[in-house]
Amino acid sequence: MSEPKTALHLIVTCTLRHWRISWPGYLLLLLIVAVGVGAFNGIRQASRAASANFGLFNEAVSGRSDFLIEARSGAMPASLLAELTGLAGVPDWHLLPVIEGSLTLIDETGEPVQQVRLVGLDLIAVGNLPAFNEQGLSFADDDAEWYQRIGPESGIWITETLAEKSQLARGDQLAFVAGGRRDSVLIAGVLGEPNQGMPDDLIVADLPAVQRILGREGLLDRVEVLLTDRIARVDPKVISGVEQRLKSGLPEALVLRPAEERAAQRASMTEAFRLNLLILSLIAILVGAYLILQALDAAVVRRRNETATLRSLGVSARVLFATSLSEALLIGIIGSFAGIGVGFMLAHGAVHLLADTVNALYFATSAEAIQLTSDDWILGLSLGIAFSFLAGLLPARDAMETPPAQILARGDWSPGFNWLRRPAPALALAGIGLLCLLLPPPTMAGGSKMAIGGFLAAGSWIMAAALLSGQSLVVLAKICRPLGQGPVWRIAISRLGDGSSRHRLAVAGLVVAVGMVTGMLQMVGSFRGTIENWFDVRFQADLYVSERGSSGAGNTNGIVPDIMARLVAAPEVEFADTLYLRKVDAPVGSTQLAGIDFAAWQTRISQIWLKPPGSLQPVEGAQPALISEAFGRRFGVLEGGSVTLQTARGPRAVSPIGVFADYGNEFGTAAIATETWQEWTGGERPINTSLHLVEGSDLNEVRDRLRLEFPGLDIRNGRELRTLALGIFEQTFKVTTALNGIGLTVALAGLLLGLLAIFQESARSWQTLGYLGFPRKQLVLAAGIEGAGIALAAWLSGTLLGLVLGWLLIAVVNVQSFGWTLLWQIPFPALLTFGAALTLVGFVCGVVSGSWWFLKNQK
Amino acid sequence: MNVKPIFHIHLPQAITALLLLATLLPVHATWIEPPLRTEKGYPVPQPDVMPDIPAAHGAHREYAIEWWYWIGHLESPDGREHFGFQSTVFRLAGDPEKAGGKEEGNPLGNRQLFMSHAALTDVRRKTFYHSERIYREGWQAEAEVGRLGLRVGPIRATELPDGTGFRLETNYENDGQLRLELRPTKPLIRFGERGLSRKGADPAAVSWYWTYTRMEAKGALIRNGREIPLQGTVWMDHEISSSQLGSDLEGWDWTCMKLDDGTEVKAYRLRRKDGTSDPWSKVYWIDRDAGVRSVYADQFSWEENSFWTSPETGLSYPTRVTVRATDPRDGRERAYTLRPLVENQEFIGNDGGNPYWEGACEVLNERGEKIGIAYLELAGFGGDLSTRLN
Amino acid sequence: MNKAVTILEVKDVKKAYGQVEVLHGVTFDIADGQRVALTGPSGSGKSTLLNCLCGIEPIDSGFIKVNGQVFAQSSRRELERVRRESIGYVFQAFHLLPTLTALENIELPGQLIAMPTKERKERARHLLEAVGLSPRARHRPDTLSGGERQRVALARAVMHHPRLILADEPTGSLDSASGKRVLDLLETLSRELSIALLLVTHDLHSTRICERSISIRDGRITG
Repeated sequence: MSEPKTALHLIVTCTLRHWRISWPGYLLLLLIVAVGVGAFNGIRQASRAASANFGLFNEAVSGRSDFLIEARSGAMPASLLAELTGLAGVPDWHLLPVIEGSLTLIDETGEPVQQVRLVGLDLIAVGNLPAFNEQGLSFADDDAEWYQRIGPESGIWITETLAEKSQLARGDQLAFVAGGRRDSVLIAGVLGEPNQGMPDDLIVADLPAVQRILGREGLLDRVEVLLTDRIARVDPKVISGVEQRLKSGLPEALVLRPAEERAAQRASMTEAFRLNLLILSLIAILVGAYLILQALDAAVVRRRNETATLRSLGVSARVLFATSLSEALLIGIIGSFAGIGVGFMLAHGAVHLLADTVNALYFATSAEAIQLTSDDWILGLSLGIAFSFLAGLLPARDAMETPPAQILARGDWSPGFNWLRRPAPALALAGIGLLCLLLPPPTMAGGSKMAIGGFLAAGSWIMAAALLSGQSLVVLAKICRPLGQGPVWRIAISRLGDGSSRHRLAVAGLVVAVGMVTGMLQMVGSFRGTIENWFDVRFQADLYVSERGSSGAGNTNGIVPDIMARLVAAPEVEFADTLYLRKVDAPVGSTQLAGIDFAAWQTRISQIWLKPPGSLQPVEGAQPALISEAFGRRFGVLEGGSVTLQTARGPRAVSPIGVFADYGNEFGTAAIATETWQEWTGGERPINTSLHLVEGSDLNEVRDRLRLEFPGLDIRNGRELRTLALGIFEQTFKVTTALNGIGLTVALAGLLLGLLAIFQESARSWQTLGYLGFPRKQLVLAAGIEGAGIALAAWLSGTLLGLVLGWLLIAVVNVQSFGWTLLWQIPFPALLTFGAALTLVGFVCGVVSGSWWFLKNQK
Repeated sequence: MNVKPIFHIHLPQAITALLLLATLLPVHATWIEPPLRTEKGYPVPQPDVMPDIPAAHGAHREYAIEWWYWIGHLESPDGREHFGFQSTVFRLAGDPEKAGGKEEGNPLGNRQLFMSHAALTDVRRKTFYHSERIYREGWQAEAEVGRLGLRVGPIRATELPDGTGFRLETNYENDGQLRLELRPTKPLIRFGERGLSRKGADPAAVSWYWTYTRMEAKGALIRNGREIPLQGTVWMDHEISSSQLGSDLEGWDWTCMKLDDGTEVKAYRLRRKDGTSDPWSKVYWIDRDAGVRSVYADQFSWEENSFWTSPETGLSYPTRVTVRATDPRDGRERAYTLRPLVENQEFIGNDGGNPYWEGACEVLNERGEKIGIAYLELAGFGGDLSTRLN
Repeated sequence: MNKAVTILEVKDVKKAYGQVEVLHGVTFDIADGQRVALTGPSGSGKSTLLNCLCGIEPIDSGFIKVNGQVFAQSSRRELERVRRESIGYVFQAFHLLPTLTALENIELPGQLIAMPTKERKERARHLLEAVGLSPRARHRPDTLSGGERQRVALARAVMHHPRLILADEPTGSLDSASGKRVLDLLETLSRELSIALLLVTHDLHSTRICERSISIRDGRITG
C-alpha cells in the first residue's frame, strides 16, 4: 500500500476510532480551537460593527447615502441651501439635509436614563426616498394636517423599540437634557413596525424642530446625496460622472465627499485601538495553540505502544508523521468552523462594550448588526488551521521518532526535544527582537502610527523566553533541593531538576501566558498611575462643569453660551477656565483645536509640562499654541515648528510655544486663544469649564446650589470628576482584561494537560515506586509539588519576561501608537499575589493530574 | 276692451316660450352660489372674476389647491421623433391663517406644500418615464406671486422676458431635459359659468379654471447627450380652488383634444362611487376664434371601448374611449374616439398610492380617421381620490 | 520449503551500547522452513540480537542477511520494507492495535504490502479460523484473554507470507495452558506455511517445537 493510502487507513482505523473512544477529550480540543478562533474573529467583527458604520444615524430611515455635502469644517449654515437650488432640481439624486445631536433622556427626578441620537430630517421630502417608502415608513398622522406635523414646534418620532423599552406612546411628553438645557417635547408618533429592527437610540423629527431642540437654529450638519438609480450606483463611471456634476454645482464653502470616505475616516480614527485589540485577541489563539500542542503530545504519549507496534510492523516514520499531523489538521478544520460560530456569538456580546468604548473615546456610534463576511471566514479558518498545524508539528515529530516496540519495551523513553536545551536559538531570537526595536513605526490612514517594531520585538522575546525557561526549572530545583529531606520532596525535586524535555515544554507554555499577563498588568497599572498623577496635577479647580449626559467624545453638543455666561457670573466664582473644542483636519488625519484662556494657562492653570510655555519659539506668521505631547509627536513639532490646520475660515497655521501632557485623546490637541478659536471656527459653544471659587466658599454647597440652578449641566467636584474619569478608563480596559483572563485560563488548562502527559510518560517510574511500597497519597503529593514547581518556575521567568514586555509596551508601543509618555509602575503587590496564586494552582493541577492518572492506570 | 281675445293671442306664445325655455335651459341651470370660505377656512373662488394677466399666472397662496398643468405633443422637424409630455406643479396650502404670507429666508417652510409630476412618452420607442417629487416651500420648491415663477423639483416655469409666453424646463433622469418656449395662439379661456368651473353639487366645489388651449411650443429635448429639436402644441391648465371633488365622487376621466381643424375639445366625466356620471360632467368646444360652448353630462356619453391592465399595479384603465356629445351649435352628435399612442402611460407616485393613467392619444372620427391629437387622463381607479384631495 | 536455502545468515555480529559490549561476534544461520530455538538467561543479549535481526538496531560489525537482503548496506526504508514483507514478529506483550478488531489486526500486514482486497480478506479469515478464533473476529483486543490475543498476534505474524518469524518469549505473559496452545499453533503455522522460525525463550520446555536449539550467553553463541 502506498504511503498516502497507509496514512489514510491509519487515520480511519486508528485515529478516528480513538476519537470515538475518548471523545470528551477531543471535544475539549475542538472547543479550545473554537474559542481561540472565536475570540479573534469575534473581536474583529465586534470592533468593526462598533466603529465602522458610516455614522449616519438617519440611514435607518432614509437608506444609505452615496455622497455627503458638508462645510469644510464644523456645521453648515442652512442659508447655504439657497445656493444648492441648481442641484436640487436634478432627478438623478435626492438631496437630504440632516442635523443631528445627542439627547439625554431623563426621568422624573432628572436623572439621566439613556442617551439617544436625535436626527432632524425634512419629513416632507423624505417621502421621495425609495428606502423610506420600501420600509413602509410614514410620518402621517390621522389627526393632524400635514402642516401641523412639521415645523419648529412639531413633535418627535420614536422607534417601536424605544417605545416598548421605555413604555412611551404617542402623546407623551419626553423629558431630556441637551446642550446644558433641560426641556421636554411631545411624542408625535411611533416610527416603524414592531420588530422592524430599528435602533432603539434613534429619534427622528422635522429638521426645524431639531434645530430648535438642540439650540442650533440656522445650522445643518450635512446634506446627504442619494442617487435615484440604485442599479447605476455600482458603476464607477456613473458614480464619477455624478460626482463631477455635483461638485460643479457646489458653492466654495461646501465640499463633496463620498459617503464611504466617512466610514474610512471613522475606521482610521479607531485603527490603532482596534489593532491593539486584535493583537491582544491573538493571545487567545496563541495560548490555544499551546494547549493543542500539549493535548496532542499527550495523545502521542498515550498511544506510544501502538505507534511502536506499527513501526515494528514496518510502517515508515513518514507515514506516522503524516498521520499524527493530519489529526492536528482535522482538529484545526473542525474547530475553526465551530470557531466562526463562536466568534459570531462572542461578537454580539462584545459589540456593545466596544461601541460604548468608541463612544467614550472617539465618536458617536451605535452598534451595527454584526456581519459575517467572507474575510471573516477565510481569516478565521486560516488562523485556526495554521495554528493547529503548527501545534501539531511537535507531537507529529514525536510520533515519528517513536522506535519500534522492541526498543520501547525496554523502559521509559522520551523524545529528545534537544533544541529546547540549546540556548542558541533563544539568544538569536532575543537579538532579533533588539533589532526590531530599531524599526520606525509606519503611519496609518488616520494619522496614528503602528508600533510594528515593538510588536515584533515582543513576539521574539516571548519565544526566546519560552525557549530559555526550561533552564529556570533546573536552577529552581537546585536551589530548593536543600529545603527538604523527605522522600516525597526528593522525588519531586529530582524530577524537576532532571529538566526533562516534557517538563521544559510545560514551563515554556506557561511562561508565555504569565509574561503577557504580567506585561499587561504593568501597562494598565502604569496607565492608571499616570492618569492619577496627571489628575492630581492638572485638575486643581474646585468645580468641573460640562454638558449633562455627554459621556464621550461623540456626544457633545456644546453648552449654550447664555447658560455658560450665567454660570460664570455666579458670585462664588472667582475664575473660570473655559474650554472650546473643535475637530479639524490636519496634514494627516484629524486633530483637536482648542480655545482657552491663553494667558491663564501659562500662569495660573497647572499642567504637567513636558516643555514649559515659552521654552519653544513660535514660527513667524503662525498662531502661538500650547500643544499636547500626542500632537507634538504626530506632527513632529515637539521641538517647535508649525502645523497647518483646516478650519472653517480656511487653512491656518499654529506653532507651539509649550508642550503639555494630555491623556484625553490620542489625536493631539493644539490650544490657542479663545478669541482666535472663535474667529477660525465660527463656533461659540464651550464644551466645559473649570471653576475656581472665591476663597472660603463651601465647595459642596456651591456645587449643590449650582446644580439646582442649572439642571442641564453636570457639575462635579474634583473627587467626583476623578471617579468619573477613572470609570471611563476602566471601561476601556475591560476588553483587555477579559482577553487576559481567557489567555490565562487556557494556559492553566494547558498546564493540567501537560502534567498529565508528564505522568503518562513516566508511567514506568511511578509503577516502580508503587512496587516499592510508596503510599499513593505521597505519590500524589509529589505530583503536586512537581506541578507547583513548574508553575513557580514559570512565574519567575514569566515575570521577568513580563517586566521586559511591560517596558516595551510603555516605552515603545504606547509612545509610538498613541504618542504619550507613561510613568512606568510595577504593581508589586499584584505580581506577588499572582505568583502565589499561580503556584497554588500549579500544585492543585499536579494533585489532580496525579490522582487522575492513578485512578485510570492502577485498577 | 274684449279680454277673451287677448288670452287667445297670448297663450300659444306663452306655451312656446315655456317649451323653448324647457329645451334651452339645462336641468341644473340653477346657480349655486359658492360660499366665501370653506369649512376649514380657505377662501373659495368667487364668480365674475377676470384673470388679471400676467399676475393671474402666479400663485394664489391662500386658496387650498392650485395646479399648473402642461401637456403636449412634440415632434422633431424631420418627423422622426414624436414625444408626449406632462409637466404639472401642484400646490397645497397649509394653515389657512398663515398660508397667504411667505416666510422669507426660511429654506424649510411649512406654509405651502408642492408636488411635481413629470412624464415623458417616447411614441416611437414606446417608452414612458415619470417622476414624482414632493417638497415643502423653501429651498426645493417655490411659486412666485404676481407672475409665473415656478421652481418645484425638476420643473421650472417662468415668463419669457418679452412677456409673450412662458419658458418651461423639465428635468429627467440621466441628465435629460425638456426645454420649451410656449406662446399662446389663442387667448386665455375662462371655463365655467360666470368664470367658475363647478365640479359637484357641494357649493364650495368650484374652481377658477384658466386655460391656454393651444400654445405654440418650440424647444428641444436633451437626452443621452443629444439635443433633439422639437416643436408642437401645448395645452396649459391653471386651476385654483379650495375643494375639489364632491365626497361622493371616486375620480374622473378627462381629456383635451387638439383637432386638426384648429378647434379644441375638452371633456371630463366625474365618476360617482356608484359608477354613474356626475351631472356636472361636461364637454367644451373651443372654436378657432376662442368661442366656447359646452354641454353637461345629460348631453354626452363616455363609452369605454377597451381596457388596459397595468402589470405593475394590476389596475384596469379604460384607455380607449369614445366621447359622443351633442354639439349645441347644430344639435348634431359628434363622436371622438381616443386611442393611446403607447399603452403603458401609467403614473405611479413615490409610495405607490393613487396611480393614474395619463397619456398621449390620437383622436379618430367615426370612420376611424385621425382627426387630431389628445391627452387622456384617467384618475381615481385605485381608490378614493376625493378623500385624498379634500 | 527448500532446506537447502538459507533464510537467515548471521556472521560474526558485534554490538555494543556505549562501553558495554552486548554481542561478541555471533554467528549462526537458519534454513528455509526450519524452526530454531534461541535460549539464554536474562541479559545474555537475546533481545538485542533479535532487534538486530529485524533491522531495528544497527550492528557494529559483522554480517546479517535475511531472505537475500544484506542489512549493512540497506537504507532505513529498505529495512522497513524487509520488516513489512519478509519478517513476522511475535511479541511477549502481544502488541495488538487497540482500536482494531481481531480480524483487522490480522489484516493489517496484508494491507501494508498492498495485498488485493479479496485475497487479503480471505486469508485473514482463514488464519483466524486456523488459530480457532473465528467467533471473535469483531472483538477488540481489550475483550480478549491473553491467550486469545497472542493467537491473533500469531495469525498477524504470518499474514503477509513472511519467510521468517521472530518470536520473542511468546508465552512469557501466558498461563501454561494458553502457552501450550500458542506454541502448538506456532509449530503448525510454521510447518504448514513453510515459514522459518526463530523462537527466543528462556523456558526450555518451549523448545520442543523446534528442530534445533542455539544458546547464547554473555553475547556469545555457546551451543
